[in-house]
Amino acid sequence: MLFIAALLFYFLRHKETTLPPKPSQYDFTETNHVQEQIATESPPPGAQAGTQAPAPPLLPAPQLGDAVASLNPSDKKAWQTLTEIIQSKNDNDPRLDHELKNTSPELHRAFFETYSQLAPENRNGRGTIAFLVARDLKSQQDFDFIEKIFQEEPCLNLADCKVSAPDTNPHTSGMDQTTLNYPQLASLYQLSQQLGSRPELLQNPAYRENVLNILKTAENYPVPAVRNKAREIREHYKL
Amino acid sequence: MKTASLLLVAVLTLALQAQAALRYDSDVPKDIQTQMANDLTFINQVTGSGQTPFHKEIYGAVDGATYKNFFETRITSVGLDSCGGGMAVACVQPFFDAHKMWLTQNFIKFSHPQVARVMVVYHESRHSETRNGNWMHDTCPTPFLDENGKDVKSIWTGASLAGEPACDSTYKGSYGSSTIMLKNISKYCTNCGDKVKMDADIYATDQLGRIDRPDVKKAMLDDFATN
Repeated sequence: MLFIAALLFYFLRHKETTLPPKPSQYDFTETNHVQEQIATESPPPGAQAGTQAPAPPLLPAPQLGDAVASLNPSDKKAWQTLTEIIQSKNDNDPRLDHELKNTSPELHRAFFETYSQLAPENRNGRGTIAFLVARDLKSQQDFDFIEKIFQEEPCLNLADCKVSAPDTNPHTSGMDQTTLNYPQLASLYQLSQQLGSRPELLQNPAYRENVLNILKTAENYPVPAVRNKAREIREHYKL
Repeated sequence: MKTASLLLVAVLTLALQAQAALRYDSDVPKDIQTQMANDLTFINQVTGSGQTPFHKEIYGAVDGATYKNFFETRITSVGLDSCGGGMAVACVQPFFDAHKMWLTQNFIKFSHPQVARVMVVYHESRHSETRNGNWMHDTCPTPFLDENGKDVKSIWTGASLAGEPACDSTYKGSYGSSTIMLKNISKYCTNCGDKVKMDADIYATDQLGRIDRPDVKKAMLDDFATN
């Protein structure tokens, strides 16, 4: 009995090392016929076991531009926290809501600097910064920064923003294209949240003008979903 | 004899535990394994203050243990594959192994927010349900119009989705169920930060656009409006 149990245990633990060869690729969305295998970057079965995928160059080593270099120790620590969080890809890091909320104008300037240093393909990194600033719109520089996000060239491809995507698989296009436009969508989302929770802010002429400028610029953005969202907000608040 | 029986139970228990943990093929790079593990750790630790009726029907509570059980009763192993190439992040190939999820290099190469990666693995895990016909997608109708009578298009290319196999006619399918999951996270998660809740809402709103039956979409919107 013990011998049988031990044998069973051994085979169960080692099952995954004797994989059958993979079949031709099946596109799940068209399960009635086999699609031709497309050349990919994936290693052939069994080869390069345990190879690590090359780390994408999305976040260069934190560079001390003028804005970052001039931070006081407390703000510098907060800025380092941001770069750690972006690198970690742990979006639920509580420090985003504790240490990186209601932050100083100087730290915001460091955010702007870091945003421009991030590769355009780092949609989540850039979107995280856009989220932080749009959640905390206070100064004219904040509004100017957010408006500039809608003046960027749209990112065409998660692998290389300057190159059109090789395919627009409708199965996943929603998620892909949401990410391509994530900094813009996150900015509009936070703006909408701020207006929703504090509509009285619009009674301030300077605030109102700044919001209107952002929305008008966003309505000229080449991506329909971004344009439509901006128009929806503007019409909702009768701007 | 008693000792032998206890030992047998211990050995079998260890064997079962080895089965319960998600197994990675040896060719899955460590970076991808780490990212997947981190993403699953995030969702497995979620706590919630409630759930909508549809969420309760499909998953249960907004709760990490619930999500963990949902995923692990569908997916037992992870492999590396191109999933047809292009922008794919993950897929299942039910005719090969219904309980295996395949991740591509894009899983770590592309800069999706964390909740978007979680959404896609849960979307794919739903496709593993062979007893439910793998929740195959519906062909988006022609024309495919939104509530304002306008063509439903991909958000960036503007390409029409009409005629594409990229819709769901039920709230229980892969688009529907992952939309419900994300909307509930946005609404009820008590240990999610502002960014996660925002991301869940943004991606859920996009995915809701793939529900091609107006009555089903309305039912989902009513579900999300539940107090």
